[in-house]
Amino acid sequence: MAHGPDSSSLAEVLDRILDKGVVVDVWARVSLVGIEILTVEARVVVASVDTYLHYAEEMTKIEQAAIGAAPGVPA
Amino acid sequence: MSEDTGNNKERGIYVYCMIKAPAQKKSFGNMGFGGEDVYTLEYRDFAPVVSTAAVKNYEVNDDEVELHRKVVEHVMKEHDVIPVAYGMAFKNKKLLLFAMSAGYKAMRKAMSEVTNKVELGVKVLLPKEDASWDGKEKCKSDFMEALKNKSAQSKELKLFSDRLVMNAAFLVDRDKIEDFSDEMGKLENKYANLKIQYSGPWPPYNFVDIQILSKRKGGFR
Repeated sequence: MAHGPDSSSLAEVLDRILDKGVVVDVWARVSLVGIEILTVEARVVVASVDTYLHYAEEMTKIEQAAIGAAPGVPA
Repeated sequence: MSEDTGNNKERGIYVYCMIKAPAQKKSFGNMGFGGEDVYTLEYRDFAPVVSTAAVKNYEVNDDEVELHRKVVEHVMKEHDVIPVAYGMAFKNKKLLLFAMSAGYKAMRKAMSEVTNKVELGVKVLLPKEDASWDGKEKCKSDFMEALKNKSAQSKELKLFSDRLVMNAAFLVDRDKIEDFSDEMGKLENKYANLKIQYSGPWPPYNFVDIQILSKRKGGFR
């Protein structure tokens, strides 16, 4: 009997919420003045390298902890 | 990070997600940071869903991440959403609308792709005691092939552990979630010895990748 998807674990939430979707540079959010405004651009990219490097290590730890905590499957 | 982005008490606008502009400005209730009203602003045919909030670095902690998630989950019940990453607080409305103008075309495209769809997550894991199983590739292609047939788009994600056989996100029509779940049921039966994590429905985080960047260096978030 099929069941629906489970609601989220924190690791799953973090995996999405931190650096995916629309991301706006901090300077574009808080401190643009005058001519700087002209230099803002949107780009659509496959992977965000900057944030990825920033969070990859931390995320891996969280994810591994989450898997470690999940019950094992009887052989 | 320099002082002007630090934890000062300046009030600004925190953005949770974007929706198609409703006919009238809409309030979702006092569910924002600090119990503030969550409401819509407008930029052309889009409405950022926002609340008044501090302009600061939003620390990654369970309660605040959970609050952001709950707001978006609530909005998603009635609207298609373009998800926005955690911590996107703007100094003022002008800067928010400016960012939206920079991202407008990309958001239009993203919205057309995610309209009436949600994201579902699937992870397939080997049991702890059997990490050297040699059926991994076959299993992964079984899952991907079957689930691609039930989804509009799919995206393979990082295999961050040796025990992970597959890690992927799928963009699925709202009215085909049940179909997708049925297919998952079949796969779960076929691979009953593996641990399967099936999660969602999510805002389509893995199918929207829009970065609005200034050329200034030194702070991505």
